[in-house]
This record gives sequence, C-alpha cells and structure tokens, in this order.
Amino acid sequence: MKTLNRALLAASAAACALAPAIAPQADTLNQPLALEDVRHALTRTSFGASPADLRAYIGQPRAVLVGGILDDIGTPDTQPLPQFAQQWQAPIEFLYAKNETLGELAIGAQYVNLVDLSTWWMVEAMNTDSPFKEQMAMFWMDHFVTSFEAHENAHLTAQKFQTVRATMGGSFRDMLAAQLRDPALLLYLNNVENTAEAPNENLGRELLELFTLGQGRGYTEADIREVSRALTGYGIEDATGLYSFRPAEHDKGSKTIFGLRGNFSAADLPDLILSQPAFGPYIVEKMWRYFISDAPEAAEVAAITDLWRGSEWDLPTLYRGILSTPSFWDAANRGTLVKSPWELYVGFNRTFGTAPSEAAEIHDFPLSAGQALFMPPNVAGWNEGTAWITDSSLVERTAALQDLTDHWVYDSFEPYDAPAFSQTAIQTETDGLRVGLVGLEWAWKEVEDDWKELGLALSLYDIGFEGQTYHSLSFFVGVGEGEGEREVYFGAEKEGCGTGCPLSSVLDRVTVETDEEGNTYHEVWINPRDASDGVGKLTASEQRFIAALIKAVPGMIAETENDATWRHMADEAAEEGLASPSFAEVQRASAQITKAFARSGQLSRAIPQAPALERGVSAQGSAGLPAEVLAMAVGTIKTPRSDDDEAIDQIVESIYDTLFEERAAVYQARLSETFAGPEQWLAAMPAQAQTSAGLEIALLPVRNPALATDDKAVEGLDDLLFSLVLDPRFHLK
Amino acid sequence: MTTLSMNRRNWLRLMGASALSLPLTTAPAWAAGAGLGKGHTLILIELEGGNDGLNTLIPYRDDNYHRARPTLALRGEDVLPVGGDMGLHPSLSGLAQGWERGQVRLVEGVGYPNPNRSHFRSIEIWNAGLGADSNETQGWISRLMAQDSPGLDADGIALGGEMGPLRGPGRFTGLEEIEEFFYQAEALRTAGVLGGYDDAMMSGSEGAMMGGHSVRPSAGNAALDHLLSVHSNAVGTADLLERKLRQAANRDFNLPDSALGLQLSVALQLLDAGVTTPVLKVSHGGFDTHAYQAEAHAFLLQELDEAMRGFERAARDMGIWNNVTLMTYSEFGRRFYENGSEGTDHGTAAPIILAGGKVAGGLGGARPSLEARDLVDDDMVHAVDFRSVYSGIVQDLWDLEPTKAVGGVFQAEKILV
Repeated sequence: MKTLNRALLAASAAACALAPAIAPQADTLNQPLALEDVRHALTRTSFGASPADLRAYIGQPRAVLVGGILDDIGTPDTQPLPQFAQQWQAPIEFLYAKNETLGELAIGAQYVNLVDLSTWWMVEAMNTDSPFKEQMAMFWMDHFVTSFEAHENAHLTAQKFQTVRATMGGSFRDMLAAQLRDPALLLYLNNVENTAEAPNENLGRELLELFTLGQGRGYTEADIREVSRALTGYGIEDATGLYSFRPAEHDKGSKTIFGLRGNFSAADLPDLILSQPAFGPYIVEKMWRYFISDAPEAAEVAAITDLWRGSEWDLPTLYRGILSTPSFWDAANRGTLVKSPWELYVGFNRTFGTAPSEAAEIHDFPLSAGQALFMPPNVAGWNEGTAWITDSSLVERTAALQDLTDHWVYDSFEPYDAPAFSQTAIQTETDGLRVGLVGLEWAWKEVEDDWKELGLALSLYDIGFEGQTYHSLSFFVGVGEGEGEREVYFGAEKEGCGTGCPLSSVLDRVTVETDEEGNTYHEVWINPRDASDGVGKLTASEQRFIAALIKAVPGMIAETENDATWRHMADEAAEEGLASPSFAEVQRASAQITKAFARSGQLSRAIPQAPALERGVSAQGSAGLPAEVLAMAVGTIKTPRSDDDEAIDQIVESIYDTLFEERAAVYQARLSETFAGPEQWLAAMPAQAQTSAGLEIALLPVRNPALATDDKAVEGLDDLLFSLVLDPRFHLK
Repeated sequence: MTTLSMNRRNWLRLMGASALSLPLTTAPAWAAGAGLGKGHTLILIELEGGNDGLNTLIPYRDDNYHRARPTLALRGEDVLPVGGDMGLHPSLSGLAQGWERGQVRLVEGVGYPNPNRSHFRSIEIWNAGLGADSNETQGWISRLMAQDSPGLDADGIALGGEMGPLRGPGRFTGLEEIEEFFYQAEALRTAGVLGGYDDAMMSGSEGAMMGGHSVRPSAGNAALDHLLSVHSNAVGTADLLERKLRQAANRDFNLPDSALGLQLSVALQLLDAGVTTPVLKVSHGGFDTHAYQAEAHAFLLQELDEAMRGFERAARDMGIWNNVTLMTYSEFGRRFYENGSEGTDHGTAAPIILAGGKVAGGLGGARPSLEARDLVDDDMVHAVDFRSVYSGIVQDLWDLEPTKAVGGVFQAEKILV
C-alpha cells in the first residue's frame, strides 16, 4: 500500500526535515499526531484521510506526515493525459476556411475534449497516491489563471495544465518564466495583441497585481506600462498554437522598471520582479488562505517568506514552510475553511474508498456546484472560501452527498470511456505522399494584352512524406502565357511553412529579398529550369517532394470544389470589379502546370515516378476531432450547410453518442484501498476511530453536540455515517 | 453563422445539462398576473467585465470622442439619438423605444473618486457602496436590509453571478433553476435536522416568514456561521418560494435563449408566482473587451436589449411593469482612448441605464468633459457618484433612508416619476 510506504519513507527523512527548520517549527513538528491532527492535515492537503492514512500516521511525529505530503510533488501521473492533448491542436481556421459548419463542429469538439480533460483530472485526484500534487496543481492553475471559455481550445488548456504540473516542484522563478510563455495565458490576457506600436497592458497589470507582487504592493502604474512594453511581441503561432516571439513587434527601446533602466524583455521580468523587496508575502498569504486560514499572521508570513527567499524561491521549500508553521496546526484554525466542490467530491470518495457509479458523470458535479474545471469565472480565479456556499450551491452539494451515501458504491465504477473516435481515420506513414486536409487558399488571374497568368495557392495540413510527418504547408503554382510562350512556376513563403514544414531546407537556403520600402520577402520560386537565388540545385529528396506535390495539384484542386473560399474569392473580386478565376479555369490551369513541369527541366524525371497522393490523417493530425468531422473535412461524407439545423443536430447527437457510448475504456478507479461496504470500511479504521465519538472526530473538523456521540463502539453505522456526512460541518476543512 | 453560433453555446449546456439548462415549455394560456404584493422590485443587471459606456451612450457629436476612438467610434448615422447630442448604440433599439415612451432613464458619468481599475477591487467598491477607501465586503443591499427589512419573502435573490450587493447577513438567496432548487431543498431539510439545529432552523424559517432574521447563536467560527446561516436561509426561503411557485402556473415567457434571458425568465417566474422581494440580481458577462471590441460589444448589447425587451413585454402582460425597475451597472467604463488592438482597457466613469413603468424618462447625472485638459490619467472624471444613484433607488423605490447603505449623505438622483 502506497500510503504506508509514503509514511515509512518520510519517517527516514524526518530527521533531515527537522534539521534546517527554525525553532518554533521544530517544536511544532516534533509533536505526535493524534487522530484529529491527521484528519486535519490530510483534509487540508490531500482531500481527506482514508483508514490507511489514519493507521499510518497516528502516533508519528508531525514531521513524518509533512515529509510524506511533500513527497507527492514530483511523482508521475497514474495515467497518460487524454489522447487529444498529445495531438496537434485542431486546425480550426483551416476548417472554417473550407466550410463554416466544419469550423463550428470543430469548436464543438473542443467542449467534448474539455469534458475529457476534466474527467481525467477528477479521476487522477481520486486514484493518485500523491493527492497533494493535485492540490498544488489546482492552486497554481487558479493562480496563473486562464479560462477555456476565452479561447475555446482544449489543446491550449491541456498544454497549460501540463506546464503547471511540470514546474510546480521547481523554483517559482522557472514557473513564472514558463507561464510568461504559456499560449493560453498570452491569449487570455491579450498579450498576443501587445505590440510595440500598440501596447496592451492586460498581462502587464495582472502579472504584478495578481501573479507576483499583489495589488498595491511595491509597483506603480508606470511600472505596469513599462512591464507591458517589455512583454510586447510575445504571442503564439496561429497554426500550431505554440508560443512564438515576434521580434518585429517587440519594443526594443529602453524601459524603466522598478527604477532600473535597461532594454528589458520578458525573459528579464522574473528576476526583476523576484528581486523586489516587496515580492514574497503576497504569494505566501495567498497560500496561507488556501491551506491555513482567512487571516495570515504577519510574523509567520514573514518567517516563511524569509525561508522561501533563502531557498531562491524553491517551491517545495514554500510548501514545507506553510505545512510546518504553527498556525497550520493550531486548533483555532481547524474547520474554518470551506471545501471547494472539487475537494468535497474527491474527498468523499478518497475518505471512504468509494467510487462514483458513473465515471462519465464525474465532471458534472463540480460544474453544478459552481466550479466548472478549467473555467474559473475571471482573472482572479475562483472566489473561494465561504463564497463556495450559496443557497444554490449548498443544495447541489448536499444532494450529491446524499446520493453518495445512499449508494455507497464500493465496486470499481463503470469505466469512463475516453475518446477513441479520433483513431478511426488514422493512417500510418508510407513511402509516398499523404495529406490530411487540403484547402484552397486563394486563386488569382491577370489578363493583359500580351500576357495572361493564372495562379493558385493551396494549404495542406498534416502531411506525410517518406515516413516523416509534418504539420502544415502553403504553396502556390501558376502558369503564364503570351507571345507564344508558356511559363510555369512553383513556390512557397516562409510564413506558410509551419513548424516542421517539409520545405524548410529549401526555404532556409533562399536569399531573403528586401524591396525599397523595407518589406522583406522570404519565399522561394522554382520553374522547370531555375530556382530563386541561393537555392541552387534541389537535393534528390527535395525534388521527390516537390514533384509529388506538383503531380498531385490537379487532384487536390478537384477536392476543393466545395470550399467556401471560392465564394469568398468571387465576392471580393466582384467588390473590386475584378475577375475571379472559376473552378473550371483553375482546374485546367493546374493540369497544364503539371504537364509543363513533367515535360522538361529539373523535376521532369521525378514527376512521372512520384507516388500517387494518399488521403488520411496521422495520429497527431487527428487533433482530437470526432471521426465525423474528419470525414467531412476529407470529403468522404458530405458537410451539411450551416443553416441545415436538422442535419447538424444529427451530427452533434452522433458525436455525443460516441462520447458517451462507443469509447474504449480508459479512465477507471484504481483505488489503493477498497472495501466491501461501510462495515468493512469501519473495521479498517484505527481503534480510536471505531467509537461513535472517534468516528465523528475522523470525519468532522468541528464537533456537533447535537449528535451526542460517545466512547462506545459504533451502533447503527449507516445512520451515523449519514448524519455525519450530511452534517453542514462536513463541508468544512 | 448565427444559427451555428447559437448551437455552439449549446455545447456548454450539453456538458452540464442538468445544471445550466432551464426547460422552456410551450406557453400555456395566460393566467391572470399574480402581482407583486407590496413594494417595488429592483432588477439589478450586472454587466461583468467593465462595459464601454462611451460606446453605449454615445457623444456622437463630440470630436474628442472620434479622435480618441479612431476605429471604434460610432457615427451619427449609426446611433439612435436620444437628444442632448447623445445617441444609443444601434444594438439598443428596444431601449430606444422605451426612451420614446419616457420609461428609460440614462444617468450619465457615474463613477467614484479615486477610481480603481482592477475588476475585482472596483466591483467590490460598487457592491459594498462605501467608496474606494473602504475594504468592506458586505453588500449595500445587505446593509440596507439589515436596517430596514421590508418583511417580504426574501431580502434579495441572486439569479446569476456573485451575490455582490446581496452579500452578507439577511435573508438573501441564490437560485439558478427552480425545479432543481425544490428537488435539492429536500436533501437540505434532512441535513438541517441531522445537523443539530432543526429547532433554530424552524425558528429561522418562521422568523423569515415574519420578516425577522435568523436567531441562531454564533458558533464562533465564521465559516460555520456562514454555512449554518445559508442552510437555514435556504430551507426557509425554499419553503416559502416552493409554496408559492407550486400554486403558480409555470409559464413560458418566451425570453431569448441567452444566459441573461434565462435569468430574467426565472425572475419573471418568481414575480408571477407572487414571490415578494425588493431585489433580484442577474448578470451578463463578457464586457472585458480588450481587443476587437466592436463586434463583441454590439453582440453583448444586443443580448442585453433583447432580454430587457422580453422582460418588459412579459411584465406588462402580467401588470407589474409599474412595480419593477431594471438597472444596469458595471465595475467601470473603458478607457477614453481605444488601445492598439481595436479594443479598450479598464477605465472609469460610465452611464447607468434604468428602465421601468415608473422610471422618470430622460437624461440624468451629468456629462463628463472629454476635453484633453479635463481628463485625469487620460480618462474621464466621474460627474456623479454611484452612491447618488443608490440613494435615489433607496428613496424612490422603497421609501427608505439611504445613509447606512451608502455610508453618508449623497445628493439622490431622481429615479422614478
């Protein structure tokens, strides 16, 4: 049993834990743990105390328990994160460009994925032997707060969740630096719009007010402006959702932050802020309010802050400071905090070793009780403490507890089935060319007296070539005719060559050109005889890739026939009084282009040998999208019109059926201690908790005189448990 | 696009169907309006995030406005003129009609001294009603009712968002869905009895009926006190409300299917059942428009307008339009100058919208100057303290003395005719 191991490991480390502690802490930590101490400490930090927890810790010095809790940080997760989180983010803009309905359905799928992630977290919190880790993940998710609702992109939410989990056992400095590169945060606080030319102060303000120094502590409005300038240019890459820095948008001028002058950038901010004398207490007090009481004690906060500063802001040192400070153990502070909905629900199940009967409904409880996971109400995070308890939330909470105590589900719950749907269309890479999604980006034509030209640009998402998988690529081809000559070209811009684009090697060689106005052009042009400056001779593999693309153009064009882009192009051309090429014209031109490249020049031999285009998405490229949406995107099923409510409703329903019925079992209870029923649960409790008074102490932080419990063995266990769990005091911690 | 966007909103509802959806059945025949009982009900509409006042009630003839808002300014031909060189945002056509009928009052330039630009601090200041120097968290309505509870079914009911102005002692309740509330109140009653304060709870419940406050002694633990007080309030209020609601026809008022529409629909159901309360609070979120504001703001105002319009129609049918006043408020307006992302950052003063059968139609308050020399920190200076508006509400709606609610004497704004 992991809990016991944890206690033993911690016992051996206890001496070390005591050595550096300051004197009052040493006194605090030497004391032996009574039943109520274990219940208190574990309810505050670990969702509650199970029979095994109580047996392991009663009688041990407090230091053993503190060590055991701290050991949680850094342990691996019990289950891999949801599948979608390991894939690329959904290409929503791309799908929108093809078809509005597809775009909307892809956004709907984000909500499905968020349910997946929320369920993952609830199950992890119930299963894990390291519950303090989940508590800290909640604390920091709530601190560097973002809301899924702001971007409707579950991938970014999952990415942030991973970053928080990966950094919360290191230094606050590194965690802060990682958050300043977190795409969800950069979006949530509008830093993607914060540029040298047009500063946006949202992140700058909250960074000082909410994330580090605290409102009104050691900074000025001018500091906010200057910090915001340092943050200009830090945003995200649209196609992949990855962090990106745009030097052109960064304010390179000198800034004055906290009286220091320098050419500061985001990378300098953590050190600048952490070296402020005012930094520290705000974070310590926030953690105090989460773990100890509503009223931080100035002297203890100062001592913890000093300890933390001395460790160069090492987070486990801060956690240890909070758990070791006398007020954490002070009887006066017990039962004075309110369990969040998440803590209440997970705590019940961990305490009793029960499991909710329907895993698919787990995410629903915190949502109904006012805590929709990953969707805190605003940038200050959850409104905690007594605010959790309103008339409406209290009835939700009470009804849920009544439900749990009515059933006492000790069987392992029905496995929650995580999405398997995105597997359906997955194709493994072969030697040929594979493309997930094809879309028309634009087509244009120019007609002059002696020359006419037609060009088109295609976007590809999820490309496989000769065993490698690439994210995306935009490229263009064109044909010009006049004076008895015909010229064709192929080309691509650096900007359209996404992360891991298969044309990177060619674009890296090309000479970047600058015009008289200072605009730079990072693009490559290739015709049968020649290529842009710097490219030189194409390598054999480059030839094979470009040849395969050119050969596939006519087929790809055929696939774009129903893309919304054709309509947008025609509308825009009409507005400007220009001609826009028709689908048939573009189709004809694409065939001419392929033929011309195959007839002569450096690609002429590669084109006939190029493999046929394969269609299908890769594992990463399926991007957490339902099979129906992918099938529509690749054209194997028809996409309904955006005003065809009935057809869309059917698809949504089918996605929900997939979500709740047809999934592979993934999430299930893996409880370290299970019982056949309440009697067996009681039998596993330590002796002092087997009297009615002992049981009350084990479950309630504040005694209820009306229960009139005593030191006799429990009689009428079911009724007593019902009374204890439904007692309003059970909501306290 | 519209159809689908609405569907997208439904995803969230599907996630937690039991929690967020309110069954809206087809309208049965109108029963006679049950009336409000005594007094006047204030419907507080919180515009969460900081509503851009300058693009709500628009000084469209002021060149300073157009210079400060190069991409966001609305032109004269777009706004709905209300006189005085001011116009309403084009999304607010329902309000403009109410204006024509003389039942909409627009109080200009509302704010407070030493404005705070933090969402949380500023809404706390508005909620507490005591100004920027006070750290009080008890709401102004709670303080008022602690002094002068009018003895109705509840001192206030929050139908969405935080308790805000209703936060604190008194018979306040939060309620999102009626049916769900009854169902779960049953569990709550059981828990109350088991929790060992059934006697106190009973007297609390009876006390509530008599218009008094809970008499339970303090446990010396603020969190436990809060829990037990919410518990007994919830049971007491649920008993009262349930009795009335069960006798009422569960009508569909055909309000828009937006979050705000659903909250106002619950408000109508409560009023229709004859539930008496001085304050119902609803919330409408999303006003923190830092970037690409124009479209989002137009949509938010349209949702507001449609929900208010639907509420008015139903309230007229029920014969209670003269007994209700709707009032919007927000933690702050936006900055005078738009930012570089076609949005606006946190600002200061903004107008308050009032609507109701007895509301004194017209412009109220005073217009802040938009001249550069009159701005402070590049922002408008408030012309009217929000506590003047609160004072007018307290006097005109309930005929109560406002000093305790607002912590001093403020020149009361005219609210009702």
